[in-house]
Amino acid sequence: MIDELIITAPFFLTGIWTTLLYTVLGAVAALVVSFVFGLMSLSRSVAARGLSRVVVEFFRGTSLVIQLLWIFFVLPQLGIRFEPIAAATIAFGLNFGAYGAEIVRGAVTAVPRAQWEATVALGMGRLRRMRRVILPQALPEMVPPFGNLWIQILKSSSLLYLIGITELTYEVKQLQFDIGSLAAFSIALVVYFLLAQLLVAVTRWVERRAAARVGRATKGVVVEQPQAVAT
Amino acid sequence: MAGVLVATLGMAGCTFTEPGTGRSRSGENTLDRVLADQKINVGFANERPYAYRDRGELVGQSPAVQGYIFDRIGGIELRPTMFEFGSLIQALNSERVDVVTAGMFITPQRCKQAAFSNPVYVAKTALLVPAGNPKQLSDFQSVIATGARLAVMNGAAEVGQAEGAGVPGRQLQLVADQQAGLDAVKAGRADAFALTSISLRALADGDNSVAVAEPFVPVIDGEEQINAGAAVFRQRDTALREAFNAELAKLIRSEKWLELVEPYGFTEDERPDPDLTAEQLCQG
Repeated sequence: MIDELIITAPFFLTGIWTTLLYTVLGAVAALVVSFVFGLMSLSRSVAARGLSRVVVEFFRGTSLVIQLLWIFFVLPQLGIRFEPIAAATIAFGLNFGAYGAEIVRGAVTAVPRAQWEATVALGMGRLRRMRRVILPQALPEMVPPFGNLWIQILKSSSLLYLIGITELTYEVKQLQFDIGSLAAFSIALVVYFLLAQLLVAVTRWVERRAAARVGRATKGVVVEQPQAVAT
Repeated sequence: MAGVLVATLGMAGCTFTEPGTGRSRSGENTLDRVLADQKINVGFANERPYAYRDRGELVGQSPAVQGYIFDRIGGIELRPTMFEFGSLIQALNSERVDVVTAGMFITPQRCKQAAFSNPVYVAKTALLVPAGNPKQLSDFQSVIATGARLAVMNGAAEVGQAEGAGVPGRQLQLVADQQAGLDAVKAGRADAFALTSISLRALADGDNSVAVAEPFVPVIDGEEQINAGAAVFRQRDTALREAFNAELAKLIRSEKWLELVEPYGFTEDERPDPDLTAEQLCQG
């Protein structure tokens, strides 16, 4: 079994690398979709709000597996064909972006009323208000739920073997033959857990940065002390 | 910045196909393309001993035969991608792959969706059971008689054959792949797992907790069902299929056939009758 592990290790490592690649690609796509539809749902335009609602409800209300298989196997029959990497990124972006849009909407709405009123009193335009006052305060609130979503993306990447992407689960299913189901799936559990801890570490770091930017006290923010003046 | 990345990805990974068929807009002939590229995209499902990956290489009876034939056609190499067994024909028809390399049986139902080469091998069915065969299972009739739970692989021919032989739906348990079938029997979730005797012998090899019962020929409505495995092509790729069949006909009659498939546990018993065609088997 040890021999088999050593022989298959390179494929296993490639699988881990591919899983991480799709976890990052999926997260970037989901982040873009989240902000686009999250901010649209706060728009004054009824059409923009309506479109955002429909998209969000559709993509979080249908199964990710079906979305993936649909984009990969059905769209070519309707005239559009995506390579596996594009199909995976689009499916992850739309599905997890739909959840993320609600995170963005929730965090922006949670910024205290007084902050909105202050920006009006200062005569700020809508864009400037959002960019300089509201979003910087909403961002730290978004980080923990986005961290959750990111871990979900990592774990959902295990569905990608269905469209022939050689990620970790695909490699584990190969390894199953050589070292048995018990060892193969146990290794996979541990590896997914460790990868998730990596994402948690990154999320924590971003959380601290986002909080520090709006002057909220967290570990790592140094409050400057008045210096004694030498005489 | 992120938006640009996603947009670029989308553009790079997107091509347009002909609605309804999913074929490339360029309208090229698949045979011409694979001859020019010297590579053909093949789909497999990790089924031992038909087609599986070993140390990064696609091996098995099916890649051995197809690799030999495509090499004869014009030095064409196999470029493999793994899919679920049940998705292989979809992968073929959405042009993800050009041929299925999986030891897939010719059945009337599949003939409606894809085109088969002539038989590459024939096989009997068997049941994988716990060691000692506690329920004394031998064929579908014995499964019906004992009320045993039977695992069958999603998309595999045994699903229809078990149903056709009269096994009630509540006794059938669908599993995703061979390994899941083996695990179902070992974990006691199923009393038996039906597949070809060739597959099951390879699967049970070196595992003392399971055994393969005596092979049998499934009977539906008094007719024996011949399990003949073949390469699968898109229905419109006639030129490619005919080129394959021409080389196959020579191979089936030669010693080379046994030499190619013997390492995977195949014997003279599995050599198909050279006069047996895909058309006959598509009739059912």
